[in-house]
Order: sequence, then C-alpha cells, then structure tokens
Amino acid sequence: MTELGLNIENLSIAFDRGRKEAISGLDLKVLPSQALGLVGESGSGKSLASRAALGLLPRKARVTGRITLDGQSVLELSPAQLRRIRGSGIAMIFQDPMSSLNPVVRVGEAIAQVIRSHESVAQGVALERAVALMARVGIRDPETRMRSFPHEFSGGMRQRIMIAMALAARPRMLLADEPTTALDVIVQDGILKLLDQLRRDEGMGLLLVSHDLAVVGSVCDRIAVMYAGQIVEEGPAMDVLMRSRMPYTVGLHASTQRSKTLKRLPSIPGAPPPLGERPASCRFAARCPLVAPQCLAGPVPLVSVGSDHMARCVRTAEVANLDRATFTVREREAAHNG
Amino acid sequence: MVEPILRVEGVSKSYARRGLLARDATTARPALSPASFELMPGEILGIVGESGSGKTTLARCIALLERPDTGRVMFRGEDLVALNERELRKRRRAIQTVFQDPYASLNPRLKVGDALAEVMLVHRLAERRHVRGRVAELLDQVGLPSRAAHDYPAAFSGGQRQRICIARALAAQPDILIADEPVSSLDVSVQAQVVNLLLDLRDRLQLSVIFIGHDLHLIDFLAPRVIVMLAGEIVETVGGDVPITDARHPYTRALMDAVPSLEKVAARQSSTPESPSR
Repeated sequence: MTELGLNIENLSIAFDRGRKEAISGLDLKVLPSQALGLVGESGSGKSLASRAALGLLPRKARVTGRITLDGQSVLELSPAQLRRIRGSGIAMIFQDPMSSLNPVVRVGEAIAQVIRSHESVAQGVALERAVALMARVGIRDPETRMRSFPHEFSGGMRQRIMIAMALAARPRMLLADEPTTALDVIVQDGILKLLDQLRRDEGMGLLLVSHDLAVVGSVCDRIAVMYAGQIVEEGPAMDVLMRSRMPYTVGLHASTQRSKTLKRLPSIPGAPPPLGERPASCRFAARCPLVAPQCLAGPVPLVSVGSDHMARCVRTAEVANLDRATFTVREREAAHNG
Repeated sequence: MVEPILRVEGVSKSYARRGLLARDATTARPALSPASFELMPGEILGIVGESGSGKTTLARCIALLERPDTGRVMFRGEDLVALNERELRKRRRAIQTVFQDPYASLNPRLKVGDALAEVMLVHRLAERRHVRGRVAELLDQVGLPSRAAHDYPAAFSGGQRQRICIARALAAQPDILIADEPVSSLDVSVQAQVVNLLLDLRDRLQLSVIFIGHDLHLIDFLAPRVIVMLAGEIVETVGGDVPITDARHPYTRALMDAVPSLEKVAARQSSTPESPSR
C-alpha cells in the first residue's frame, strides 16, 4: 500500500564532507489535508528540511534517509521526474515574494505558464483559470489585475499571487517557508486565514515553516519543534503549546509573552550551538534552566509523553515546573506533576 | 517642569512623481500629513502602523534624512528644518537611527571595531589612543564580547548584527535613538533580547527612544505612549491615561486583533473542543 502524504524518514543532511551535520535523523509526516507547523530559530534546519522535500538541495549536501511523496521516493527521482511532481505533487511558497516572481512577466501570464507547464490546455483557457485563481486567493478585480506586473502589487498581494501560482497545478501538498515574515500583521493575518481555508477546501496537506509559535499555532493541527537540526518535540498543536514537555518549547512560548506586569520580556539565554559544534548529548543543555548531569550523559532519544506526543528530554516530568510565562523554574510546585 | 527633548510640529511630506508622465506635484497624495508630537527625555515612544502608513517617512523627517515639506522639528530649542546642510551635519550626531535590516545596514568589508571607531573619529568623540577601549565598552554595553571588534559582519547572526547596529548608533553618544522596525526581521526569541537591550539602555543612559513597528502588543510592552498611524496620518495616541485595551479607533483595534498570540490560539481551540487532527 502506498503511503499518502509527505513522509520524511531518518533524514540527515551534512555539509563540508560530512563534518557539519545540519539535520540529524529527522522524521516528519504530513498527511493529506493535515497542517503541520515546523517551528525553530534561524539555523535550526527547518528551511533545509522543507526544501529537501522538493528535492531542492545544495549539490554539496550529503543526504541520507528517505523522503516520499504519496509513496514516491523524492531523493531517487531524475531531474525530469522531479520537475513533474514539483507543482502538481508538491508546491512551495517562500518568504520573499518579490524575488520569486519574474518582474517582466504580467502576473496572469505567470500563473497561466504554470498551468500550461503541467497540462496541455489552450492559452485562453489557462488565462481564464488564472483569473479564477486570482479571485480564489482574494485579489479584487482579477480581470484587470492579471495584466499588472509584480511591482504594481503590495507585498501581501504579491504573496497571494505566489499562492495562486502554487495552486495552479493543483498540488496535493503545499510547503510554506516563512510566508508571512516579511509582511505586517494585518496582511499576515489575511494570508494565514487564506492558507487555512485553502487547505480545508482543497484537501491539501500543508507544511508551514515559521520561527513564530503563535503563527503556527493559529493554523496547524500538529506542531513539530526543531532545535539544532533535530526534532525536539512533536504532537497535536494544543498539547505542544499548552502541555509542552521540552524546555525549549517552553522558552519559545515564553518569548511570545507581552504582559505589562513583566519588567523585561522573557527570553531564552544564549544562542544555539553552531554547525559542527553540536554536542552528542542534549543540544539544548547549555541554555536549559533544568539542566542536570543525566542531560550530558549521552544522546537523548525522542520519548512518548502522551498520546501521539513526543519530546526529546530526559526530564520531561520536571518540565511542568517551568513557568510558561517567564521561562524560570517555579518553586515549591513540584508536587503538581505526576 | 521637564521640557520635551524633541517637539515635532506639523511635519508633512509628499513625494512628487518624477519623469515625463508625472502629474502636478500638488496632486500627489501626501506620504505624511502634518504630524505633531513631543518626545520627553528618557521616554520610549512607540509608532505603530501597517506598511505604507507613513511611519518610516515620519522617522526619516525627524532624523532629517528627508527634508519635510512643512513643519518644524524642534530639538533643544532649535528648528532643525531651518538649518543648512553644514549646520545640520554637526547636529546629526544627536539623533541616531537603527534600521530594520541588519544585513543591509552594515558595511560587509569593514570590521565591527572599525565601523564603531569610524563614528567616534568622524564626530571627534574620542582620541585615537582611547578608541579601542571605547569600542570594547560599547560592545559590552550591547552584550557582545570585545573580541567581536576583530570580526566582519558576516560572522554574526541577525540578532547580533542588530546589536552591532545599536552599538554603532551609541558610538555617536546620541540623545535620541530612532529604531525603525529593529526587530521585525528577527526570530521571536531574539526579538525579546533586542527589546530588553533597548530598555536597559534607556535606563542606563537616559536615552530617548522612538520605536517603530507593526506589532502593537510588542510596542505596547515597551512604550508607555504609542502613536497609531494610518495612511499618512496620526489617527490616535494611546497609552498614558488610556490603556491600549481601551483604544477607540477601529484601526487600532484591528492592529491588535491581527497579532497572532498563543492566548488567542488557546481560546480558539477551547471553543472547538474536538478539533479534527487528521
């Protein structure tokens, strides 16, 4: 039986002749019509992982593991086969819509090109469908706007054009890499709602990559948290957000706090270890308020901490003692957790 | 009574269309309609609005990076708009700006220490023999090790680069720091560190800060008074006696509602108890 959706198994990607491992043993699964949020800081490997799913890897990368899309192994495809599944099987939108659009092609034509590269339809039909897609992603007056060039649109509208292009070949899986990071909050809100609606209406799988736990939480049903090249927590969105079992997730949660009762914003002290200097034991230990000798003893596996909820931590029981608002250890509340 | 350090009076700016097909400049929609406000010593003042609301134009006019069409920028009893370029150059030291993109605002071929030293030497703020010590002091002030002086900007992450940009602004010993979306391009976890740094600097140096952004919750946290801008106009000033939750203007409310927050996520989820997970 073929496994539907996007399935990443034990993926490792290293650079510099294997000396610098950017991603270590990553497992990730996005089912059709499911939205998975992949969260992490810059350098955590989250963008690299999503690009790998499209077969977009730097030539010098050393890759092991398996990536399958609806049962088809992405890493073993020829360039011609890859081109065929890019667009119709899996499509991607990026952070910066300006540099992903050809500035001298009218947007209607750009969308029609995508349609015609996957289906043999007449130009007129393709343009009609382009107009329908522009309307679908919330661009007003698409019959007129299809003749505009990318620079005539605002950042948010350009991102909608990118989404229309991504949808043009009816992909079964959409990867969105920080799609709203360059946009202001009101525009971001509109794009997130659009992505959420599209995935429900089209039954499309969605992998949303972001550094912002709140962005991911407002769209996704599952969340995977990445730190220094590893998944450190994964589970249903509410469990990961509200019943975090990994101190790093608690820290990310704390850094979104804006309560005026605090004198300073909570933040995670320090910075992630650079490539090539990641410890064999817990990679977060140097920044963790709960660090104990057993954290430094050896590699930490992902352990089950609830139904369908996993965390990479040896002190998952004690994580409940961390204050989600301030990322400090609460006193005298140890009795709370079982 | 404490006098404001900066008084902005009716500052406006419009950009005329250039070229053969340009219409009359007077018909151009102003990027900034006449705006007035005051900044107190040691105050952090927030300016919030979506892209295109005129907040950056306002900042550029205050720093005289752009000459306003009308109005006055009163700094220490002197109208900066009335000064000529040469006189202005002497005052530029006092108002420093930190920009959104820390990748574009540092010279990639200048070592961090040299970038900071340049500012001090240009403004004659330190003698050559004292420069090295002063550079180390500045780096320490923004939470970077003194060995950072010997590296090029490429060696640093986005958050570290923004610290370097802040250190470079501080090298001029400014009275006012304008931070134009200083954290918008940074990870959430790093945003908190930079915001805390600005709060520390305000406390330690009695610096007056104008903080511009689009995340109203973040701005509300660090600025007691917030100016809300829409389509080139100041539509509301919140804070002080009016807490932000009592903001009246519908646009201010829209800005607040648009910020994704985990509290909202939790509320949404609890209203739909059985969310389909697959």
